[in-house]
Amino acid sequence: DSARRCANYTDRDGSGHAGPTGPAGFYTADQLLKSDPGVHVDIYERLPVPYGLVRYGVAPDHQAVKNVTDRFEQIVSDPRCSLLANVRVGAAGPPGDVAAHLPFEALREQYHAVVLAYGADADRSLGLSGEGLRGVHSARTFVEWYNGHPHAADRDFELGRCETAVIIGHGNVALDCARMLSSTPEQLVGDTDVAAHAAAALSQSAIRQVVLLGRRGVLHAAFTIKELRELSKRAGATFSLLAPADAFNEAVLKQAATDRPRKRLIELMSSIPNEAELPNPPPPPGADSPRAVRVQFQRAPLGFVGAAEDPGRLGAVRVGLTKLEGEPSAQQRAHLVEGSAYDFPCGLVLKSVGYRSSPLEGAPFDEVRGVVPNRGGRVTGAPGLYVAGWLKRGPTGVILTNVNDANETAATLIADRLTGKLDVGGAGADAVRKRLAAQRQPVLDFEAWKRIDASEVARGKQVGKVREKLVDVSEMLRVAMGQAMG
Amino acid sequence: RVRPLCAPAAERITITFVEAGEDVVVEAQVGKSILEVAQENEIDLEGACDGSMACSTCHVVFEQKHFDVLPKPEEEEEDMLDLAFGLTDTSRLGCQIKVAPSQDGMKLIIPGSG
Ligand SMILES: Cc1cc2nc3c(=O)[nH]c(=O)nc-3n(C[C@H](O)[C@H](O)[C@H](O)COP(=O)(O)OP(=O)(O)OC[C@H]3O[C@@H](n4cnc5c(N)ncnc54)[C@H](O)[C@@H]3O)c2cc1C
Ligand code: FES
Repeated sequence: DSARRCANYTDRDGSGHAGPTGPAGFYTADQLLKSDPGVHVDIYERLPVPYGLVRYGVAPDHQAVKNVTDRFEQIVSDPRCSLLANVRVGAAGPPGDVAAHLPFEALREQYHAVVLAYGADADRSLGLSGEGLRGVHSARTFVEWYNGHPHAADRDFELGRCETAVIIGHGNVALDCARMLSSTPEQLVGDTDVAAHAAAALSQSAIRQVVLLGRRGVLHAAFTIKELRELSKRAGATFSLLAPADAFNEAVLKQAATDRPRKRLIELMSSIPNEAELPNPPPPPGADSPRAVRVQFQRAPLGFVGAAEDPGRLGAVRVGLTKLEGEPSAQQRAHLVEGSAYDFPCGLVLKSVGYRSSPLEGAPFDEVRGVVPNRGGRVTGAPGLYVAGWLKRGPTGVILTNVNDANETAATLIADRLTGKLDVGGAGADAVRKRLAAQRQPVLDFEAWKRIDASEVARGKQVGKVREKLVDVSEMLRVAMGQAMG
Repeated sequence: RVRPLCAPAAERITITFVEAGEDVVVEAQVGKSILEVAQENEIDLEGACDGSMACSTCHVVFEQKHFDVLPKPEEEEEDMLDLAFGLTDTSRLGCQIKVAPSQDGMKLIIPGSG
């Protein structure tokens, strides 16, 4: 079940450019509007609400990061920019989908240009045995659940059933998940918009230890220093690291010294208690233990093992130790140490090994690289079609990365426009709007979002949070259209 | 109208932003942050998190002599700078630096803009 958005654009007499409402879509729209007074931009979003991963990815306790939506508001407030939310572009949705539907071709033939920026809404897979066991989930689903994404609101992670959770991966998403899983009830109110269902389940959670497994070493972690430091300083949980005793040897330090961010990250890591050097490794957690977060290096997941009493349910993750080959470097590979495998008991696994984009029906897609093939944002072999954001470069990088990336795409598009390459098609956004109006499902504009926004903030106030998200799309639609709650 | 005595006319200096390789000269009020000055003058400096040190989109590069006299960055700022695009030895976050009289005539480069 996927959400994507796309953007397209038209000419001086005003048709549009439709872009999705994540950072890539907004920053592209911004740049187009700034560089060319004749441009109109229509932004299509599949959900009733805008902002993509800023709303449904960025952690609920990182409210400052979400301030970026103030900028997005400014952009969409430009009279030449319109939001058309609750419109699914591409293949028709499942039966009962509340979104209006617009096949990609119908969109494309009406605009002079279309920018795809629908992000990445699927997972990379590990390809290990036992991935289908109950209790093995993708981190993406867990993130969507605690952020109140409508597609994940009814998930049950059975947090009351086990004391140990294992997260596979050493990126910032893994750290976000670890922070959420180790939250005390007090950390789930206040400056947060964690979904109500998640706050309830996390406050009742039996989980006392969260282990983050990484196949490679301390030089290869993908998380960033701010996020690691935050976890290391966090009240209510202990924080430790497990790395081979020589993990911070001279050669490693020397390699790290060549790159300031890596150097500072390694310094921070080496200041965190290393379990390998502790006289007594931490005891297995009990209900009364404080929460523990343990980051473990050079340990590769080999498979998932069913529980003895219930073979369809996760009982342990099989882990193998690894050795790093060659001189310390970013490219170093990890090899399994033979005979080192052991089973680590746990009741919950979150796989955090990366997001993946899905193809949009009717649009080009490179299955191998998982992106829309392009040069500088111009989609290969498809005049008038452009791409930005995670869909263009792959699912890495922070919000900032999308700024430069969107600027490049917008510049390419404007250059094409100035050289007459877009003087075809583009009957106009009106035709698309008519087509959408003929459908039963409502198309929501920015005013509609402001009604949802106001309602969420008001509900948040009542419960001592910055926002209480609506998680049900029918309810979103009712509020958006100014109807009383049923 | 008479200006109250306690609020003297704000002191103004001149700063040059180098944006996409082009010099943009602006007037800056002493005491405002570099980010505020940039935004008032429609310089392309994002400031996505509104100065709460959660983004690094306000990254600017100072000339050495002006960099050297700035108050030292907090750990938090250093952590955020580590994520900045095109980090240099004289990089700072524009939201954390206040305009000072001694900066009259200084040049600031906005990285990644050209
Ligand atoms: C868990 C997580 C935490 C993160 N935390 C941070 C952080 O703290 N700080 C930071 O700087 N970065 C963070 N990031 C990275 C940041 O979120 C991304 O760099 C950025 O959101 C990518 O932007 P995008 O526009 O390419 O995609 P997205 O933000 O995913 O936007 C895609 C949009 O397209 C819509 N859409 C999809 N399909 C359709 C369709 N068919 N029709 C119409 N619309 C559609 C989606 O609903 C969505 O709104 C985080 C990412 C994740 C996954
Ligand atoms: S504006 Fe975000 S860190 Fe300065």
